[in-house]
Amino acid sequence: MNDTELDGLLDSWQAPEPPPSLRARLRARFPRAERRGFRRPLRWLLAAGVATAIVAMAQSSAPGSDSPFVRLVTHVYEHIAEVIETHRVAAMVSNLRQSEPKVYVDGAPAPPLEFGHANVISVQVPGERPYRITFWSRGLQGWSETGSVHGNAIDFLARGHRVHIQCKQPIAGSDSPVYVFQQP
Amino acid sequence: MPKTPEQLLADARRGREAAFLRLFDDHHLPLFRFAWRLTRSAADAEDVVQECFLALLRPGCAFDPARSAIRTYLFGAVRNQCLKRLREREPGGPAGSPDPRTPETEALHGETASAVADAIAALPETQREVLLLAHYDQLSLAEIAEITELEIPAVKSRLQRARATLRERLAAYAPVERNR
Repeated sequence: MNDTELDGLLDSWQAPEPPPSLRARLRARFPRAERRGFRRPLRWLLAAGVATAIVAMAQSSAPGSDSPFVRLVTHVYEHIAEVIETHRVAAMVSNLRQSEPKVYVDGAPAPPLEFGHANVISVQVPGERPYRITFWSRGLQGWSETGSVHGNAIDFLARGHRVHIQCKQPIAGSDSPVYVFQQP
Repeated sequence: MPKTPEQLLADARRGREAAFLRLFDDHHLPLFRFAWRLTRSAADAEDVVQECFLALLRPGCAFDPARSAIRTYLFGAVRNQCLKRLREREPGGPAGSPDPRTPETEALHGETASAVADAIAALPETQREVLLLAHYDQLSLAEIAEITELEIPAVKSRLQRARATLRERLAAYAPVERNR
């Protein structure tokens, strides 16, 4: 059998076409960019939130402060504060995701970060269960503030291990805390 | 001017889905076929190709445009993922859990094609991947060397050995005129 004949035989084994669902499934898993930074309407929302908070505080110090109006204003204020926090955290995670972060545990290179739902990030510390970190600061239970984001770096402590995440670009405009939770 | 694959990847990493899908459309077909021929499982091939494209977007992705072309990198990633899956399977290598043979697949492939598939599956792993990349994907020896992390002479010799083995094993299927 010469080369041409062998090639002809090999060509008889045809591979199937990939199913169209492959593209659809990949598309569904594409991580869409989080909105970065604050937009103009959000600044107005922020100003409105501050104004309502001032009104609420003034009302609450007055006699009969448990009025429905005060409760409504407080509720609106809480909601606005949560929206602002969501955007702040999403922008930080987006910056982190796009800044090629490198993880070091006690000075040694460690596995890359894994980005999960709700802007929570998993960090692998060798010999330990994974740690989760977040920049979200409102209403956390069971999380500890053990580090901070500063410039291009994130540093925190995980049961005595020093975790350092080095990025190619700044994560936030100013220093902010990092909250850590170890997966049970 | 159309964007290079590297530019498309940079756009995809900035969250542009259209760039990512364009990259996928341009490269997925030969990758899927290579994965299918290595694993002989459409489900495994789909999973592997999907994971390799998504891995390009992850922060720790090792792809370096200065060191290799994206096509070569993706072939290497698919190859590594397939080999990992094959090793996780029960003993039996690529034929361990191939797609079940149905009347449709038999009709599609025919007896000769099945014999070719079995003969290739029986090759040693290092010869099999070199043969698949050279014959079915028409990659150069240099590209195969990069994907398989071998030297070019080693690729060449494995390819020659693979073809010699297949020539022997498939002798019965050679064109009739030559056998007379």
